[in-house]
Amino acid sequence: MAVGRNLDRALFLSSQQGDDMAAKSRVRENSAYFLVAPMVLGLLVFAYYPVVASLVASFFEIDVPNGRFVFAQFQNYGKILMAESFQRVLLNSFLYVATLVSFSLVVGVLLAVWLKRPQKRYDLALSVIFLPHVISLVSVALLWMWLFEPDAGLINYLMSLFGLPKLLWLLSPDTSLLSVIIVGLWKVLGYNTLILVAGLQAVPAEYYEAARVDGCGRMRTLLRITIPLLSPSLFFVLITTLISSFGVFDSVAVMTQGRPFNSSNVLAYWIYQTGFKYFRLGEAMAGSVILITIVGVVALFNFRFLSKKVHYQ
Amino acid sequence: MIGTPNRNQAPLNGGFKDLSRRLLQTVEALGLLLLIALFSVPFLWMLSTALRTGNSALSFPPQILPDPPVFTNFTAVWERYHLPRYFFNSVVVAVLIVAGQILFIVPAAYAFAVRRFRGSGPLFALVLFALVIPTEVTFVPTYLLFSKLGWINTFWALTVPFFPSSFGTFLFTQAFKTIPTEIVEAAKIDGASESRIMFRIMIPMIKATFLVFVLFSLIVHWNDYFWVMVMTSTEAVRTIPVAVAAIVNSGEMKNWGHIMAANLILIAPMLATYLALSKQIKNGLAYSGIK
Repeated sequence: MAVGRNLDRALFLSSQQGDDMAAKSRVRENSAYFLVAPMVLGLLVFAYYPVVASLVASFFEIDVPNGRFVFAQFQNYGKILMAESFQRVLLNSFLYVATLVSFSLVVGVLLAVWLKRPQKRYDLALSVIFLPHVISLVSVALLWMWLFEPDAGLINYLMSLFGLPKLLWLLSPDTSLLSVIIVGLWKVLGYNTLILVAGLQAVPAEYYEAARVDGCGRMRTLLRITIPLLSPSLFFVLITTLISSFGVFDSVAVMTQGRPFNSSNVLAYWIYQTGFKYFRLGEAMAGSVILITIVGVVALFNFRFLSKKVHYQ
Repeated sequence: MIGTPNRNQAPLNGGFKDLSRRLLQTVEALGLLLLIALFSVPFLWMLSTALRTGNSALSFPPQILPDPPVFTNFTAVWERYHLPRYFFNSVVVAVLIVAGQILFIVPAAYAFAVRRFRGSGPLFALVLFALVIPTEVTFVPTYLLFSKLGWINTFWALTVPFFPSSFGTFLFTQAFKTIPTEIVEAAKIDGASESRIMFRIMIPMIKATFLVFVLFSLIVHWNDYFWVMVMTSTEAVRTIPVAVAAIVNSGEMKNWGHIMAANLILIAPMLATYLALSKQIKNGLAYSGIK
């Protein structure tokens, strides 16, 4: 409670100054700044400064051993954008994000419409599919590494029961990204479904009653009533899935480290690799700036255009 | 599998409708079962692997049930990979982060919700906008800053950056706004200090939000891997997800019994929390999604 005590003291000291009303309200206003200062300063240092510093540093060549900065204009950007490996990483990230987002929205809505019913068994199913959200992506990745194991893994065994051929999953350049995507979907689907179920339950029953009286079919009800009234939750799911999947790191670091041949590498892991394994800090930060720009533009686009379509009751 | 309904066998009066409805119900029940299996079998498989002895873990076709179940994998990894040390570090880090977050969040949220001051709008926007910045992407400058401060391989680097939580500030501001202003005014007239109003009067009134935030922060930071990987390299401060993930690449031959046992040790506290409080967690989450 040390902060609390200091706060009291600050407030006590400030309340000593003058008794007239204007001064008093000014003092009260000023003390509000004391209250928000730790938060605002903290965010400036830990959230905003790194973005600005990355932007500045991305225009320099950084000599790691002696920490010397040499101005390099757009060289870092040129170097990485021309490199085939980085283009592959960009493509992988886009595929990862696009699949996770579209799956979360489409399958999430279908599951939510199905599982929102009040019976106990639906609630149980919801609890079970939500489980992966509570545990770490590291744990999920380790678990799936074992399921994907080509020789003794459960998935290839189950596939062999249906006469399907063994796949190499994480070990083959053809299926490694797909495997990483499956793991991401398995983790995020339950959370998104839960959010959408809550959104559905907030839709007043009278709307459905009215639709029924007017003779709306199932499809029409879904498109004209459920989706518009669900749009705040859909928007939330869209934004959170978008941001978290652009930043995916843990599963790639644990399962593949981008291998084989960069086939499962994604932006966040590439930045880590380039900066901390190859010590090409300037290029790493140019990659950061590209990623921040993409996330920023996509998020802004969503806020500007989609949020107008979001229907708040 | 189920067969198509046969018109001739169904009784004439509405029987077909009845039959197709029952068929639909069966398909629906099977679908539900499949969905539950998809998300629970991997966990059971992990448990079964952890309880098997070294050799039987790799047999093909796989041994479904361990025979006999043994706990040697758990005791082996617990000692060999110094898990108690990492477990302890994880607890320290998670608790420090949550405590720090509360001390940063509550005054700020109180000011945003109760006080009127110039610039409160832009400052609140600054807090909200930070939600969009992914730390996985901007860690290099923070790393360089911490290495200048000598914070690398310390608990400082693992905890302090998370104290200013924009999500928490948003959540608490919304919750504080629901408290009637009369209560705050009455407390002031009674001579209660501001920190007393915040921590002793307002916090108990938003108990549900408070609990949800604490729970979620604990889960997120217990599970964190990335930040610990980047900011530390020594056993003295590293946390359990990093230690468990390292086991995969420790030997030439992967011992899946060991890996799954260690993974279960990592998961156990979160799993226990979820099973004990699943209703609160689900409701709290759903609530934060609607707002």
